[in-house]
Amino acid sequence: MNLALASGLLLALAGCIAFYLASPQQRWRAAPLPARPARLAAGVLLVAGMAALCQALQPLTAIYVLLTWVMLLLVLLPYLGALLTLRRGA
Amino acid sequence: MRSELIRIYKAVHTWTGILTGMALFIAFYAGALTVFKAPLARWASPPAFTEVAAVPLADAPALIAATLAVRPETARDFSLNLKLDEHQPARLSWQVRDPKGDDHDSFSVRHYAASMGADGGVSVEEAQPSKLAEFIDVLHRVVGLPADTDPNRWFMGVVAALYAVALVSGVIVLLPSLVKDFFALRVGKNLKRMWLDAHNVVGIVSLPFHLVMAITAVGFAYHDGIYALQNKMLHGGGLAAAFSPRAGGPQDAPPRDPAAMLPPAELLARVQALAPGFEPERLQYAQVSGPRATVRVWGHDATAFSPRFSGGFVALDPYSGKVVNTEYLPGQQDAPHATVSSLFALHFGAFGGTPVQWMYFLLGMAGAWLFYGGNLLWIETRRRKVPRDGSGMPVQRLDTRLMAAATVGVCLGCVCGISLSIVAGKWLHGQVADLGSWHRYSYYAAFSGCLAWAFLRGGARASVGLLWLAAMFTFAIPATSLLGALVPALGLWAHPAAATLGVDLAAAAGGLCFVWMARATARRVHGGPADSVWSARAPAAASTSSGKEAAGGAADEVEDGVATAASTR
Amino acid sequence: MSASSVPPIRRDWLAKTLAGVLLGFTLAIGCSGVFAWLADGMQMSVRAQLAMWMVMPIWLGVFSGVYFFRSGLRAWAWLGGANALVFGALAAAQWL
Repeated sequence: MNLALASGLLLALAGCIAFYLASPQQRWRAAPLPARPARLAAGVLLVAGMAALCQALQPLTAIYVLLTWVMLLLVLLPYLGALLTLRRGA
Repeated sequence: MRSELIRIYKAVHTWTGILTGMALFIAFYAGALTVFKAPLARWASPPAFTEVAAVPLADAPALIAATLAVRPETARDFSLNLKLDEHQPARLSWQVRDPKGDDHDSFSVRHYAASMGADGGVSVEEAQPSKLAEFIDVLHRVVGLPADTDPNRWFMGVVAALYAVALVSGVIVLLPSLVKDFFALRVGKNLKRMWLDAHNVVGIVSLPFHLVMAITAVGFAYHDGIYALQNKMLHGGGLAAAFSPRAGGPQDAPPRDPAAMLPPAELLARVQALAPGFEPERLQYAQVSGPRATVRVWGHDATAFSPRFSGGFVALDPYSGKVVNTEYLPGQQDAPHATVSSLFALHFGAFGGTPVQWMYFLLGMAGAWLFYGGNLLWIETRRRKVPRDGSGMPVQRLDTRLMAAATVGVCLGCVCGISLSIVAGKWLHGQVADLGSWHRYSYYAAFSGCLAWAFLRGGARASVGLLWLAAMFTFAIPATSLLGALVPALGLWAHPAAATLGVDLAAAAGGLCFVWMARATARRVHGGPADSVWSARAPAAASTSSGKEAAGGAADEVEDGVATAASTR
Repeated sequence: MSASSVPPIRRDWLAKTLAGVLLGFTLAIGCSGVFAWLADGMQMSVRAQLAMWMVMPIWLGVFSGVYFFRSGLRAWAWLGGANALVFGALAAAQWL
């Protein structure tokens, strides 16, 4: 995996985490992050991630990779949250 | 939206979901593994198979000429392989299809390979490549049925169409609470809430992935029929000519001498000049002695998506080196071709290399979980809880008990069957004549055994044992490789390649997941609330007579349940 | 207007399902025909592929949405009308 692809995926990961933590349904922290700044940060990170992916891939392929990655992360993050809830409860 | 419509679509979602959930589980579990079809095929290829001396690419023209001299019929279609591995060790290979077989039946295809000795003599042999990966792909393509035939694919198409309706109806049902509950996964006392959240978060977030899968799967099922219909109605019968413009041609042309073809290195140089980022893997020659000789140079472009599962290609005239077709060249397609190719690429995860393959693997597994969870939700919704007045343990409904047994039996049966079938690829090699069929036998033996056990013991009791069995069979995959590496005398083997070690590591991780699930399920079955189909504390038997519990057996319970239900009516 | 004046939505499972599957399919084929006619300049081999693939989203979309109709009769009437329109346009295109 080349550097541009890896950094694009990492930036998108950070963006997805910010987006998740801004949700009232997040289960990682005691309280969600302030919604507006966190979502703005998420947007900026995702755009930056897309820009990095475009260095490694053609634009349409970069969109497909970003969409696939975001779908997977947004499925996994709530499940991690549920696991954390169970841990704390135990 | 009117709440009436929500209720209607809830019924639609329930019915389409419950009818297709288990078939879709198999399609997605096998499909997630099919992402790694090539590593699986390499994992299962015996070392004896790879001991063919590889002919250097520079000697390829001599190899082609010598092969065509002994097997002239091969001129119709053969491949020169640039990337040799455990599964495809021969430089030159070709396939012969059973003329009576189905077009999609990849199982009855015979494979041949040609190699050249030091003296320049050519030897042609029938290769027996492992059919393991192909078998898992067939399970994926026809939702667990044994062969990729027209009727089986049409059945898969019905499943896929209902799956599409289930997706849309599920979103409609969820619309009122979509924004409020986005990301919600509330674990706690309310089990129905938890299963609903666990189901919704996967379904909503990966909806685009699932819509692509549903639409492409229906297309794969019915494209032959739709093309035939459109050919008559819209295209004036011109489709065959449009799809293979280089077929036909002058019949009386004198046969050409393949020795006059440009050497592969020259052809590859032309492709390199045309598409610097394209990495060729295979040269597929067709009709080389005819007037319409072509060579398709197959490969991948790391920066673009591939039009097909096995990559994309550029077609050349092998005599002049002239490029005749770039419509399927990754990264250089026009908008209409890129649109069609996107559908294929998005179904197969044929873009972004290994990282995206892993993403597709996990999204596929999440899909299997979506359908499994859907069935659990159906059961939980119909659960009979202990009444507050303390009037004793209720008998769970017959349909929920049968559904619990079927869900556990089919889903874990598929998991056990595939793992056993993979393991059989190494243990039975050299022991049986037709290993391809034995992949099928071992899968269906495990599958039907698990299913029968689930109905015999009931979903709750069977689930723990079957999860341990799934863990055992799955751990047997890396254990077999380890044995092969440590004790060569056993006749097993382990390839040192990263891809095949990846198969072993992924199986070890999968085994750990099944152990974790088995332990969690055991806690629930033996210690959780008894007023559920998921309790081994036999509510059905307990409610009738205390002595029955020891006898166990779902058959007894089912009859008891029916009798009790009838007597209370 | 009182709430009771809104007629209930009839279930009509069989009628609606058949309308969605059958008329949805014919509508999708008709639409692909209109596309093939409009995209006349496109190379035939790819035009045919696009025409084939566009059948799936239209067919499945109609099949999925058919339960919004207030009754099975309305589903058949509206989808039948849409079919007549599309195939009428296709027939008219033959004369042009």
